Amino acid sequence: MPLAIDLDWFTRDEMPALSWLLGACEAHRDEIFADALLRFPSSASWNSEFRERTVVSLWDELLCSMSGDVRPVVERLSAYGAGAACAGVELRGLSDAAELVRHRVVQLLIGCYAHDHERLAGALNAMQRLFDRALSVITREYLLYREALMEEQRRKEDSERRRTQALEAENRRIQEASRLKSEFLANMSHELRTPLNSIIGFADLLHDGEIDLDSPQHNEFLGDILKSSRHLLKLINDVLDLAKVEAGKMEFRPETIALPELIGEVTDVLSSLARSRHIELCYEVSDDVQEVTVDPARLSQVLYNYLSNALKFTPTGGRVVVRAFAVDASCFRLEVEDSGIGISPENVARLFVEFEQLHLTCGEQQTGTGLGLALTKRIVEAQGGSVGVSSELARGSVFWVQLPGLAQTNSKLRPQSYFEALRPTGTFEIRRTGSGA
Amino acid sequence: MSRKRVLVVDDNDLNLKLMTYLLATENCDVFTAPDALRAQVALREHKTDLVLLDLQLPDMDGLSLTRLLRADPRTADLLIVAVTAYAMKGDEERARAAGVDDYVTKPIAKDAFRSKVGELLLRSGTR
Repeated sequence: MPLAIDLDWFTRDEMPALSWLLGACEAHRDEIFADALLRFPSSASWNSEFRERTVVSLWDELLCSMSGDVRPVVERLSAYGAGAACAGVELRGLSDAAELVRHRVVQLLIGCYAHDHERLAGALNAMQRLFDRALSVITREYLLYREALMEEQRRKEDSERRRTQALEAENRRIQEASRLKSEFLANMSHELRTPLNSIIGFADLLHDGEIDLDSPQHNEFLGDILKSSRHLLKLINDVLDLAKVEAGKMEFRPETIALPELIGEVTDVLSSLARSRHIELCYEVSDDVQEVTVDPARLSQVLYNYLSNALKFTPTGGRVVVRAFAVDASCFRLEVEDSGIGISPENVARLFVEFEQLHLTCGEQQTGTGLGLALTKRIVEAQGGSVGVSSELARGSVFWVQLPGLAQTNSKLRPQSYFEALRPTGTFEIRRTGSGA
Repeated sequence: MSRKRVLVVDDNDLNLKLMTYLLATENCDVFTAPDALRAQVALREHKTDLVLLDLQLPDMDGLSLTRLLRADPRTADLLIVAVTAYAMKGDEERARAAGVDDYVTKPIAKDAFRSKVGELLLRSGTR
């Protein structure tokens, strides 16, 4: 092995000792190695194959560094520290190995320089510095790598845990969806059979001639069949609509319309019912929502639903009011307020849920399908809006729907200045032409 | 044979009307109740031979009402028949476990319904 001693590491006086040492080490390499292996404690927590390589490597590193350039040695020591961490070798095992090699080398040096104390001291010093250097590099790299390894492990466990949690949540969601579907199916079966029972029952009686053709009962039963059939048709339409919204197949055709007209049309349809029960039915549309861009058929459906519910649960002599106003620059709200029986807080949560008919005894038979509010919610949400209710028992309820689609032609919300207040309304109205057409 | 007394409990007025009519031709007097509370009142006031019970009532489900009646010594032996639109798997087992004597699903078949009630009323005489 050619000697190219690094002068930073060893003084000129140490050179001869060092060159002898290298020779001696080289000559005794196997001996030292065997001795090291023997003296390792068998209870050490690292495996024997790695322990062997530890000693061999340490020795090789030592020889290399004594022969010259230290940098590649440090690099190899770094890799060596990382490798040790990777193999699960304890730090103590590493330093044991290094200590053992050092011990053996020192013994050799003492044996050789027993007569020349000065040279011995020099060689021992050089040896000591070399080992310290090697060990500190190995230790540092070992710790760094170990830390990185543990960090990696933590990250893996974290992401694994997150993945498990996400999977569990997804699983719960699917199970809940499946449970809701079965429940919906069971409810639907029940709801369809109920009107069918009277349709088939009465038709059976008429068909078998049990009822005289001329008797008033004959016509009455026919009326009952009709009534149940219409209820069944409404139920089927609602279910189909619900399925359509849920599948994202419901199409919305927004157009800019006059909101007061739409509200007027819906209230007209229900006005005779309101009159027959002496319920006052009126509406107020604020200036800022005269025009809106919505699907008029769907908005009518929603309003009709709210209104018929309000009339159903408002006692004779009550009052039902529709209000429309802007919420912000783009959204408007439609409210239906009744002076009805109100809904208790625990029942409010069951509104807007399929087939959850609240059995509020109001003296009148419930005629709804139990799907109206659920359908309303789905239809509104599919258009980017929201629904809700505030209610007080015995006082009444306010059902609202909030939708985007406030037309830009409406007068602005800002407070009117004196000048604006003087301005005749409509003077500066700008009609949007051809929008969406 | 003395006339029997039948109580029909259902929250749907047309179904009540239909069942009342179907039983009018049998040898029995028919009374009706639209909810569980009024059914209980009717049962307390009159001796009754048979109850035809819808399982979905506005104030209480029919199974709970059945359990209440079975727990009360005065109505423990009462003949109770579930007449219900619940026709899914497991519904009948649940109803029988709650204590109903028989189970009829809607839509009911006119003749089968009458003969079932007639047969049950005969049985009620021997109980």
